Amino acid sequence: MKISIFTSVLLLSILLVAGCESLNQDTYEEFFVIESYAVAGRPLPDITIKRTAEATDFYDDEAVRVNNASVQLLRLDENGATVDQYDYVLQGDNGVYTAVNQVDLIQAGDTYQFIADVPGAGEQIRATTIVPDTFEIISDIPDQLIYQGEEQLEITITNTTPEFRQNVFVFSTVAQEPTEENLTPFYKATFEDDDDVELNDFIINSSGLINEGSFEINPDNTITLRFPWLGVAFYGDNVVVIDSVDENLFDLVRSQEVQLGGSTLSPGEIPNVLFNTEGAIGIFGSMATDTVSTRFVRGF
Amino acid sequence: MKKVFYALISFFFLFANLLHAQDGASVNGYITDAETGETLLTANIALVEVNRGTSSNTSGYYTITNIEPGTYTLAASYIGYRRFEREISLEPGENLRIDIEMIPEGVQLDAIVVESQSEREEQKNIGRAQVSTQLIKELPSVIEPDVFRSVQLLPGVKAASDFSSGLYVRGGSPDQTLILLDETTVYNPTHFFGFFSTFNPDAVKDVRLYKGGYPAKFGGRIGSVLTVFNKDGNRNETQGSVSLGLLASRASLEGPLGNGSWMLAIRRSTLEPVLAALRNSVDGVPDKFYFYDVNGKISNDITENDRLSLAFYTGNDNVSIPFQDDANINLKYGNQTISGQWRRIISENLFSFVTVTGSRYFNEPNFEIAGTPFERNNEIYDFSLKADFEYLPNERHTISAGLWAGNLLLTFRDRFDNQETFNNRISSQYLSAYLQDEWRPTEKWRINAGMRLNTFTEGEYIRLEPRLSTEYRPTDRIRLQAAYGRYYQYLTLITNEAFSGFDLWLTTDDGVPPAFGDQFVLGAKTVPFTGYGFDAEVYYRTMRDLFELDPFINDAAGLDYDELFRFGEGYAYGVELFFEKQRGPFTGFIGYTYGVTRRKFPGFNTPILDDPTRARFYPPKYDRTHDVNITTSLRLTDRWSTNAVFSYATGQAYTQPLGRTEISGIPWDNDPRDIFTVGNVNASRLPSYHRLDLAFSRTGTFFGIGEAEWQIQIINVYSRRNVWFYNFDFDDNPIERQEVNLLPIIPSLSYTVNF
Repeated sequence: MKISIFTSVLLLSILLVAGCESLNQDTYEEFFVIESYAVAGRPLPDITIKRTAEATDFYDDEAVRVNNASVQLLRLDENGATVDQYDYVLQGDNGVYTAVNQVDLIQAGDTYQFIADVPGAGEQIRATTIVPDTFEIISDIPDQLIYQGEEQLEITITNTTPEFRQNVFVFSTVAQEPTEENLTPFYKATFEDDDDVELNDFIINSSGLINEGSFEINPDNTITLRFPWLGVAFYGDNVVVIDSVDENLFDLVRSQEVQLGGSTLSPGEIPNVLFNTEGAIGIFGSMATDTVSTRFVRGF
Repeated sequence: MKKVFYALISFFFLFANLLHAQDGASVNGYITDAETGETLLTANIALVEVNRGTSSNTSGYYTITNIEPGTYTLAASYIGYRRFEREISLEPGENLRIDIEMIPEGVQLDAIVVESQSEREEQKNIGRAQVSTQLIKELPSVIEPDVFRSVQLLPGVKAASDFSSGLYVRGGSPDQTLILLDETTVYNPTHFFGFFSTFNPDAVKDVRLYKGGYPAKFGGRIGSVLTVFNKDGNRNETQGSVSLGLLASRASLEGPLGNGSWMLAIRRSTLEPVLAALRNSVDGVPDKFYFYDVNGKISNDITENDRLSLAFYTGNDNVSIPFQDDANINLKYGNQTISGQWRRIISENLFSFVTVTGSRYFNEPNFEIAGTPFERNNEIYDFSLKADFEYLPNERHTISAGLWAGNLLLTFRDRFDNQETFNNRISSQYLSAYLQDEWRPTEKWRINAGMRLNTFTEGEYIRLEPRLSTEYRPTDRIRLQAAYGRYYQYLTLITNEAFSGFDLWLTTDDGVPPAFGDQFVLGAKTVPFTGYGFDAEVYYRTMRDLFELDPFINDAAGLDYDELFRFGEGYAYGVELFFEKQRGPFTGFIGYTYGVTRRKFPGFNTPILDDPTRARFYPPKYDRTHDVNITTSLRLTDRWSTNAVFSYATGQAYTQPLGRTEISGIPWDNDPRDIFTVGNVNASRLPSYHRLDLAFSRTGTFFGIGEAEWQIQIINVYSRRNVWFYNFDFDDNPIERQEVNLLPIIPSLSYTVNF
């Protein structure tokens, strides 16, 4: 059969489009990494500065620390103008910089900005956070609760104006008696079934990020949160910590968990983490926090 | 909106009453299998002497109008059946009703068949492909014969993995393909976590895929349409089959009912004995793990010109796994559909179908871990009324028109620790209307022009979709085709390639406009030698306003509906080649696809530290550049036959991590968090995929009761460990890349009795 002109055009188009588009795999680029957390009502935070390493190399977190940066923390007003300026100094040689001023405290609702200059770096490092409003736990907390009993730990907190869409909370228990005998059933089974799991993995047990919209707002504008039993890893005394996090922490944590998998992305499809930083990757986050204590006892 | 609706209703009632006075004669009727009475869809019927022909519609009805009085040879042909011929004489103005009964070919003979120009497979229309149900049952498949896995062998259709039966057609994701069972939309047509489809091959009569450039009759998806029609049932005698397999077993029964027929087909998993045996020695074995589906249909001719049918489907997957002390997972999902259809021959040149459909999809995963319940409930209810008309005013035109009106109710509710965290209920009415004319100005030219109007009340969207296709036949063995269409989509699917049990559908709304795209297709269909076919198609398609669930959303509570989504765009283009041998003891086909598809979403695949609203195109995981599928069927003897499938595809896309760091100071963490830095998303390629599957069948009898068949299959004969994806384990330092592999060699055995 003669190959028609039309068929020739089709075959030619295969060759043309085959050469049209290629998506090149790019190569490793080193970035600076910053890490700092401001907590409302607490002293000015430390900041760690380091570098990334190639994914295929042996990773030594100490070896990538940056010890020659000049660092300042600024407190800004609503127009972005500097209100206070704090100098930082390197502590030892581990890339950790500490504020010279250990008196001033982080103010809820205020804006803080780290700026850092590293010799030889292409651009200045900047990261900004707006500290969430403080809140207070106002409910009476029982001294003791039966694990998975009829009474569940309920915590009522004062409502606050969110800095962005809605407040985002993290609930954590910090076990005060973390022994194998004190593990609750689910965590005991996890510990026994997996050789890679250690007791220390459960001492601080966190709920992850939970939107304020998950909870009911009371008529007096307070919020009542029911603490899920899943958050209790150990019987005995536990400190329950509630954190209200800023948008930077919200973005980093939720996107880092997507990198690990489990979202709607196909396996093997890995996005970058959401960093709200300039000149470096990492996190300058902030939070407001409050704690209560209670004791979880075995049910019968 | 109401005015538009009433205007369209009036138009179609007027249209239905038009009758065109003809001086010419006509011949029409149903074309059926002589043994079972099943209608044959898109069979070819022609008057040999005058080269006038047509194909039967989806009800198996044909009509040839405006014929000069005289004597002719009425011929009909259909793959797998002996050619039909009868001499007919037509008087002026006569309307001759001839219901054609086609006799199945017992043995496939390598006979030379003289065909008229018009006796050409109508399934060679642009962008269209068909898979025979016999081929679906014969091809080696992973444990169960499956409709979707057979469709995945066609050029232009890709599979995401061995574990997924999802259809990725011409660069589109599975939700871009409309799936219709007896005219009813099926929202999650999968069983066993997506491993295979809900369509029981014993119940299916016709499967066709409109890969692209699909006609105005269909709408609602920007990619493609898959139509599945179940059997009506044997009108002449009661017959059935039973098939026993390793994973599931099937039984079907059909027979005559008055002036019609009935059909019932059941399939259920048969894993319980295996699970019970494992439970004593292995942890985490499901307490409950089964799926089933039931297909049924009743048809009846209430008059010579009126046929009623009622079809239903119900299917369910149910899993309960105690994966740990004080922890279990329960998953239940499924579909139910029902459709009632009235087919009427109004006159020799006017045919109508009126269909009432109902479809329900539900998905109810729930977990309880350490006394903390997580519950989700997602349901879709879709009820609709369709009316379609086919009108042939003369031999040059076939006019199709129709209406599709319905109500879609979608509910999505999440509960965490017995408190409702998200509750969304969307009720939307939709109305579509189309008008299409196939114009045949000369013997060599065919032009199909149409328009479809869609309305969707959730968001108050009204959209027009023009469609145009042309065909030119320079010789009797070559068809050159071109098509263009604009398509809109009002639904999006949230799914996981690895696991379809949590599939969730969401719709457009205020602030969430419908996705849309344009498709351009060029094709050439040729018959190089009798009994052979060679097809080539080139396509280009755009995807705009794609809306899908933002993958970075960890908690939907407190968010406005439009905040759940990310909005982006995409495109796809490619070339498909298809060569098939249709006749003789050795048959098969080779399909090759060169395909490229890309997506772009703001904030995704942007360079680190760049403006997060910028974006770059990237290939989704299922983008495979080259794809080849070869299937062969060989009858060795009267009793033995063999089938083989060989698949080769270049590697899927994946993301290569480039750098790493640690974040160790988050107050509520026990351990540091590892973070990758990546460059271009999905810029690397997995190793190529290839696999050979073989099946051997031996027919015999079962104690004289009926025919029996043993089928032995070997999937992945040389146990190629194809890579599904790479996993990067941070527990090792440096990071170790681990392969997660697809299926190894799997033998399988089944026994089927037909009685």
